[in-house]
Amino acid sequence: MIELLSPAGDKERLFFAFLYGADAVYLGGRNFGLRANATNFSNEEIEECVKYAHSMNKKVYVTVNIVFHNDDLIGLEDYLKFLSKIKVDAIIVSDPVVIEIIKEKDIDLIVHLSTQASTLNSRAVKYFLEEGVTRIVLAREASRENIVRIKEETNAELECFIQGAMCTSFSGRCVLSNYCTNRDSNRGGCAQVCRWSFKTSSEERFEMMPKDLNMTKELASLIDDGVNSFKIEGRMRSIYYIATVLYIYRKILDKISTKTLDDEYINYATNIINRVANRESVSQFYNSLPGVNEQYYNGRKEESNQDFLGLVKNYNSGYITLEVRNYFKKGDTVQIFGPNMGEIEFTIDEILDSDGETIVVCNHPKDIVKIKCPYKCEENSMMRTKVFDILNKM
Amino acid sequence: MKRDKILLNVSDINDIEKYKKLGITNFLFALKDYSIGYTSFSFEEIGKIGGNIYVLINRILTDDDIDNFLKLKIPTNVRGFIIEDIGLYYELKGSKYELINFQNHLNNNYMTVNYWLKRFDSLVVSTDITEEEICDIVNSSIKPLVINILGYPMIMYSRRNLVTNYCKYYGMDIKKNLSVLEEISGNTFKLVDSPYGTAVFNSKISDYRELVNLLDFNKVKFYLINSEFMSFEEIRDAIEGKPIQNASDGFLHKKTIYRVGGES
Repeated sequence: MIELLSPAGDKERLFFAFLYGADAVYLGGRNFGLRANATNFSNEEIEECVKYAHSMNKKVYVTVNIVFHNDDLIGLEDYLKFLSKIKVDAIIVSDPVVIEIIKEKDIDLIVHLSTQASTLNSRAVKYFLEEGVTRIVLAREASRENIVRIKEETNAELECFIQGAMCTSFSGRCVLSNYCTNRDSNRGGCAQVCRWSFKTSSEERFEMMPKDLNMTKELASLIDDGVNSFKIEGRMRSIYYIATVLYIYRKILDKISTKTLDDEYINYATNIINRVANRESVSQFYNSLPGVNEQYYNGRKEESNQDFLGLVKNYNSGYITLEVRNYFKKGDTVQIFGPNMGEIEFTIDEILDSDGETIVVCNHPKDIVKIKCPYKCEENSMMRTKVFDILNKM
Repeated sequence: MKRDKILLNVSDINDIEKYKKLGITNFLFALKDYSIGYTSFSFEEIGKIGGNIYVLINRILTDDDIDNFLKLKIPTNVRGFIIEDIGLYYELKGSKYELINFQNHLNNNYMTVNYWLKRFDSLVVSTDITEEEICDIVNSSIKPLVINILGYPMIMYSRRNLVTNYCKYYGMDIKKNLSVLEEISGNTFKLVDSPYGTAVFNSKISDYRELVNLLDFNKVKFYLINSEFMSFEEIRDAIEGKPIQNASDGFLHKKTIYRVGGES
């Protein structure tokens, strides 16, 4: 079975990830993870989330993927024992010290090798399999040829990123952040200096920010290549981003399995994903070495959008109850999508405030309003601005 | 500084005799097509050099790269390999060559270092950590280590051709080297592009020579000097203990932080 693996920066994101089709999530504790400035999870929260996931036959992987300094080793063994005790499904590691402690102390944990290890060949995979690692998250630089060869030579369980931001460098092989900001990139403090603009001796400024990774077109090939888990990047992304991306990729997987995926849907999916990510996206290294068109110059043309209009709380007697997130008004054409309901579109012709009074504009985030809706909507579906025509309307 | 403990990464083959006259006998050559960022040499060129010869392979390799490497005829004067890719280690383990782990930026604590020392003959310690951390690592290590003491540090390795792409985008003549300034921090970086990607170097020399007097001599295999972008005269002066221009003590006395607004 192909696994769709989602980031979860906090409990709310975890909930929405599972709701919108993730088979597993990866998350970080308060220490030892590479997103030191995300909300992250306390030990108690991790335990709670593991129980919640297991109740739905879903999985939780915990990142223990910093590059450790001497002082960071304090508490590591206890933390690993804790993760074993609460039965997390695996941990994701890059520093072999974690593998060593697990082996020496006979801690019952499944280990996945992080993309931070930049694994690009079957020999490195064999090395880590012999060390007890059970899954390899390949380097983002892996081409199709690399992936196929690794699978053929090792039959290892492979995980590949399919969506999200890319490092300019091989993951882990960059300390620009350390030099420019004193923030340690390999301990979760990366300031993303590769996304900044640099002065040169000519008039043209130097930039090196990659476009996002997007494997919507390549998902079927990745399945043929033998990849077992499809990973989405972005533990600090919003619930709207997570829901949208998971919804799209789950749909693509379904369409692949029913042999109904076509170019029209792939183009639609790419448009939706680029819109929610606020960035263009490409397949990066999979088919060829990224060139001049796979990165940004002259600054990224980012126009922040407020497409996410609200979260549906329930549907009753022709009205949805909505928690408002961004401005909209009577007469707007909107779309709602949810994990089981598909996507619908309608024009708003009636809005009621919490007192049942008619209003024409919603512009206060978190307000609860009722909107007349001709379609039945499910709880926790999401309302967005219409930007693209919906394919496969319900 | 005991000169027979110096391992000099050679950037100009014509300087070797001058280095030998200074008492340096251990030389490191970046291998053409298998290294990134440094001036590189073919095995044919390396085979002609006398002294204790080590070969640097600091690229992250594909299976095809490793297949091709294994077909190469390794000159008889090569004593060992300093390598980044664990797949290459997997192929070379048990061979007659000394194998030295050089996973740039990743060898930052004593337990990881000792993990690798159970497999490798030695290891190059990171330059991204403090003097205190380096001393703790060296004191705890189960084998003698390689310590960077001088050179421009490589601070990023990308598979992308960043300089080539930049030149193409702006319609400039393609060049391989570029110097860029990050204006907020005032840091300048040197980019070196090659068919195998782009290496970014800090434009200040990391001068870690003070470590020589702090570390247990017997626990150091080599003091590593990287001569890339440096003249023979600069290196000679540094070895003789003279101050050098455009140098910094890097992170020796500056802990990095990783949680903004929190503890380091």
